[in-house]
Amino acid sequence: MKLCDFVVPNAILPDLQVSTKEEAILAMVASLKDAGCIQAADEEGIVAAVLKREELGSTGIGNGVAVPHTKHPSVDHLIATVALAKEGVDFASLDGESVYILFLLISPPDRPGEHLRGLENISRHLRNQNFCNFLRQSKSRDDVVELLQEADNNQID
Amino acid sequence: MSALVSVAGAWNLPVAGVRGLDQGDGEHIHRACFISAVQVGVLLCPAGATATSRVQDVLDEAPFAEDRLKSDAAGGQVSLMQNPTLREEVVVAIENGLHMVPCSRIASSVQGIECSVHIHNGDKSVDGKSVLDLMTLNAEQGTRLVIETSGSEAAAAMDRLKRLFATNFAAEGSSGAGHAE
Repeated sequence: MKLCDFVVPNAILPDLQVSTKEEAILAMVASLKDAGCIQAADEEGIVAAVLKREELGSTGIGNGVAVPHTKHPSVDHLIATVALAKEGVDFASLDGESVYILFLLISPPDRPGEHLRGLENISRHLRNQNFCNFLRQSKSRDDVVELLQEADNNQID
Repeated sequence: MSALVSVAGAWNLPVAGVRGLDQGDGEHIHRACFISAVQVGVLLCPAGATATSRVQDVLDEAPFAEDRLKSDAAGGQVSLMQNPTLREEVVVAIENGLHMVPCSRIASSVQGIECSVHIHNGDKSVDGKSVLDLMTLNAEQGTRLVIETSGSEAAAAMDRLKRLFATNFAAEGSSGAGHAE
């Protein structure tokens, strides 16, 4: 599984300007809807599910990164989007720091293995500080897509 | 000599390094102990051991529960910490595998504890105190993992981690992490 297999290019938000976790999640889910990956009728339910998951513990896992996610029956395969918040978002992260890179995942409830592999894939790349630095410097969707492709091809040291 | 070999054998240590020891040759014994400690990481060689140490002296001063050596470069001495390395196998019973919630609980349960934690899934080994690392384990339900803790509070860390797996990551007052993502 590669990042470009499940990250929706047209849903990428290279300049997310929000101040709260809720606003960030709302914007990312809306972006997936605008890209045609989820139905408008499911948008509210997905946002609620992602926020409910956050109640179990923040997906802000430190190092300026958050991976909000949920399982939802409205999708038949794993989809994701990326958002970059240059000013940072308070995500109640484990390390107390603001979040600058967000990956939002939605996966079907009956495919836990796919969900795990998606998380594994994202986590593996987010461990690479160069990947995070380049991502934060990206200014457009094309920049982000190009970087994801390079990461998929192991071209980032 | 026989005592040293016997103890080494009990801990499954390679005994080649202690062959030919003479009980009266303190320097030889000291060096042999140091090599064994480096090789297997469990044998203590006291910093104060001298060239005149006798076998029993070394054995008395060297509890076989060590996994780390600290070298004092300035003094050229070897000091040791009494830190056992513990290993336990656990099985991921959570229906959805080791997703972010259990990974977070693993990391948070051992944060602040004086020990290192590594979790192995086959050939892959990750830092048990890092959520990001743990999520790269890709451990689905039924996966066998090996937990390895070392340090002065290794036993406490191991207890906490084993309890998490045994209770299917159920937090107090909750129904567990099995269905959460």
